[in-house]
Amino acid sequence: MPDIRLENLTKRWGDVVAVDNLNLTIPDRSFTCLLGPSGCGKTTTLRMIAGLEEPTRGKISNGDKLVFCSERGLSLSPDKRDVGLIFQNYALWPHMTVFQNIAFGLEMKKMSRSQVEERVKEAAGWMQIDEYLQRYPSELSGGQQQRVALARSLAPRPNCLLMDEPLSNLDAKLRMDMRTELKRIHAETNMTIVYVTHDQLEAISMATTVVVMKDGKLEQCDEPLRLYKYPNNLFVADFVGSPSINLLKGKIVELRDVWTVQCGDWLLSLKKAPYGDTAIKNGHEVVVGVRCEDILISNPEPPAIGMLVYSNLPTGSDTFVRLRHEDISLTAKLSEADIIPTGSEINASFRPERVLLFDSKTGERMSEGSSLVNFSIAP
Amino acid sequence: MGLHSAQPAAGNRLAVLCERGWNRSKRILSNPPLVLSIALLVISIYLVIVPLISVLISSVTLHSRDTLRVFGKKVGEFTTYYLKRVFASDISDVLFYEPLMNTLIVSFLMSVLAICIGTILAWFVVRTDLPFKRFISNMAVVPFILPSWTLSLAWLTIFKNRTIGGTTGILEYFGVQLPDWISYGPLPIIITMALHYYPFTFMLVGSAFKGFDTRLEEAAFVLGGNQRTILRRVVLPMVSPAIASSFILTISRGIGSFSTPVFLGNPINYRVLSTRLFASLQAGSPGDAYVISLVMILLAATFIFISNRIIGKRKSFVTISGQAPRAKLISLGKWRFVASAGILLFLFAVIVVPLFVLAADTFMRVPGVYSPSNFTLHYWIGKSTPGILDGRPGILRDPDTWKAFLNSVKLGLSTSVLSAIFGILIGYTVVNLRGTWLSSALDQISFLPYLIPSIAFGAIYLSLFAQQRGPIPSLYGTFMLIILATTAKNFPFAAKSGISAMIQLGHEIEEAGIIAGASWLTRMRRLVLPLQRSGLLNALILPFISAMRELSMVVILITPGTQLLTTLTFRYSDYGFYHMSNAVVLLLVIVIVVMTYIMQRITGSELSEGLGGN
Repeated sequence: MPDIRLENLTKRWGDVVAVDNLNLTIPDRSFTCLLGPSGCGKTTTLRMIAGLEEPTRGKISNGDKLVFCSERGLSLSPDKRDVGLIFQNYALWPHMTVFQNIAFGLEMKKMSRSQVEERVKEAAGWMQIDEYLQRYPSELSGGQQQRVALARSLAPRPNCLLMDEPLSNLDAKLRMDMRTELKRIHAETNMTIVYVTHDQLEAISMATTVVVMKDGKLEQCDEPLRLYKYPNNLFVADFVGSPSINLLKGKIVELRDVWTVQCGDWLLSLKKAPYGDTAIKNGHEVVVGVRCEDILISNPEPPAIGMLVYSNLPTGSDTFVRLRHEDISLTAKLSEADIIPTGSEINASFRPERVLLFDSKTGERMSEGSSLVNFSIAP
Repeated sequence: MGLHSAQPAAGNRLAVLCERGWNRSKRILSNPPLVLSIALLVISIYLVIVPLISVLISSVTLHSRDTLRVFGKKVGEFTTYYLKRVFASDISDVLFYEPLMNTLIVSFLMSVLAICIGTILAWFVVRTDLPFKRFISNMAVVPFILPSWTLSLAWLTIFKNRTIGGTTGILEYFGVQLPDWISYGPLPIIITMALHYYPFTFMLVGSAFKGFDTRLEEAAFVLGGNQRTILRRVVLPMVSPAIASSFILTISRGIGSFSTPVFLGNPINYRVLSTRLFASLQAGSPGDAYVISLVMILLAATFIFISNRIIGKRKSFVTISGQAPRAKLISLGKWRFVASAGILLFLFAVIVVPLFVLAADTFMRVPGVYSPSNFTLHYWIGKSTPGILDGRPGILRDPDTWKAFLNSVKLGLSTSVLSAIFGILIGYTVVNLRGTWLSSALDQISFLPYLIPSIAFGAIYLSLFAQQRGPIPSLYGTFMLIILATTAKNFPFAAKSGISAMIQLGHEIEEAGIIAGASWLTRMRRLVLPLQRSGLLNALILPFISAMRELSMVVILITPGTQLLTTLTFRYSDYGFYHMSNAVVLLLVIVIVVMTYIMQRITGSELSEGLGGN
């Protein structure tokens, strides 16, 4: 299985550490998204895989082929790594026609004229740009340019396609179309795709594996839904999901079979002891995380607690409701477009199995999802 | 891949180290930008740093002709003799302090005048509804294209008085008695230099005006400011960085300027540093000359350092990018034609009158007699006649002229081509290796000649290449030396435009080629160079013009065998053959204007950058 493996990969520019001891396996034929805020090292990682940037330290292998190894001073040039790369600004050669752009890589492989022509036609057919082959890039729209860039990368049939925020220059509607298109390409070609983005929605909706990075370090690598449901730490929890997850500061007030966490004057009793860690004592500071769709309003099973409706943000399909209680403020999602008048009092509860508990000091998640057994106001 | 995937035997550290070293050096040697940058570094060190060190050394080592004055020292030994002579001896005043004061006064006042003219013109052309602005903006840059001493010669032709003997100017012929301070010295120097250098301001401030966001002006207008208040309190402060950088650019050119002071100052022994330096070299005191060059370099460097401090990093060449909203033009009302007429009159006086006066002068048999019967073509096409100008034939018949003409064109072409190649390569490597010390070293070194006034640069090259020293051959008297010096003086401009062209191109264009598996040569040939073509041609024009009219630097390096049109004018005027030197200047002007026109046609660009708008 030609997985792409990164071992202890580090990239430094002077004192700046762009990528910090990254260990990662990108599964063969996966659609892997490198996700993170700008400056987290995701593009640098991609460029190191492509061979455009030389790592300071570490090892990169593609299947059983070692493409980079700092210890042995080994670094294969990009064309020997069997990868295609789509740039954020497409980097189409403005002085060449679409045909010449796509043909260039094939010519470099010393293919015969007829073969080149055949492959160009094939790639253009795939991306539905047959009719533009004789045009220059400047005569195409942004979406068409994007298709040309894809065709250019696909034509030499690399086993891995690397993409650096390819959709960020497109408008919202085109972006939607191209996402569909990219998923189709992935399904039809069996290529491994490594995709860099800062858009968590894009990552969750397209990827088979999402890699979240921050400050050059790996935060979590998981399938998208698992990442969403069980973020490893506060950073991932907060970064993934829109609107962001509700986070409540609190501390542990009781440690038995059932842990009781106090947030403001709320008491949350959670079953299933996390870790069973003896180091955790009464008074340990924690953060409770609940996604907005896991706040139940319309038909809350008891135990529930009273809250005030602060504002409504309808989106057409759903409505986001802001709820308040003392200093606590939560965003809940009503799946039907109900609007509860501002100022009204409602009963809210949490979906019991979806309450997350994080260590406030380390930010790490403390359990595999806890189960809420009681929810009440402190006496 | 069999070799690479083999795991190194455990514990065999030496083998691993060897393999790493081998693989690394193989990669470095096959990394063209790296190899290229090292080659460029060697070249620029050789052409810029080594000469600088050489002039430093030359100013503190004993030269052969002074062995009798300094006891107990041999040629080439360390001595402070020259430093003392220039800074602290009874001739220091003549040798250094007076010329220094003169230089500062002249360059300062000249810059102020040039800034005023340039800013006013730029404002009218860019911000108002002036009629004929396109024509005006094209004409306004012409004085910059002309050799700087065209105006000096024209000034002499009109205002020369009888102090230094020989022919007098037109005004004296008509019976006007002119005092020396009008004919020669600081006043005419300041005026003619300002008229030559104001296009810098015109172009820089003009593009600042052009990139100016008029919404700022409108905001002030809405708040109740009147046109004049807005100009004074909003517009001018906003373009003040451009004004400041024009000032620095102008004054640092002024410090190194040689030709104007030599024509207008020398007759009454009014010396500035550059003419003093030249006189020292001619008098056979190179030691003094080198000390003076060092002072000039320090002076220019100080100005540029200050400007960088004030304006931020290297904004000397302002480029406005991005789209400001289309400017609303200020209506001059009924004054627009008056303003236009005034400006046209000014341009007429600065461009047409001088050229006409020079031309008229060359058609007069007996100098100074302004009557139709005195008309002659002798100075252009006449055969050698004993008694007239030592029997020299007309310049178009004189083989010397044609030799100089060919040399000038040769110099212009080779310098601009070399500079363009250097610029592209510097741009490519600096951008490619960005963040490495190699990249910044190349960037910095190629900027250095900017700090060195032309005449000092010439002196530096003279000191280095006058005799063979180790690996550095003696190039004095060869044309090669003149080409090298002119090219090196162009490095800052070439590097600047090369780097900005490469930045604009972006690294992705080439990286896409790397991914596609194109070799370096293929990438350069098929991706990078084709996209640089227009920039490349653009980069040819300015070096060509400046090489064609270069005098300050080459005057030191020239020998009878390597005469250029510029140095020929200088020599004729030195002999008092003003007709000849005027005729040669005209020839030079024609060549420059024609070549500039052709090159602008080819590249489709204009020096005035379309300041006049459509």
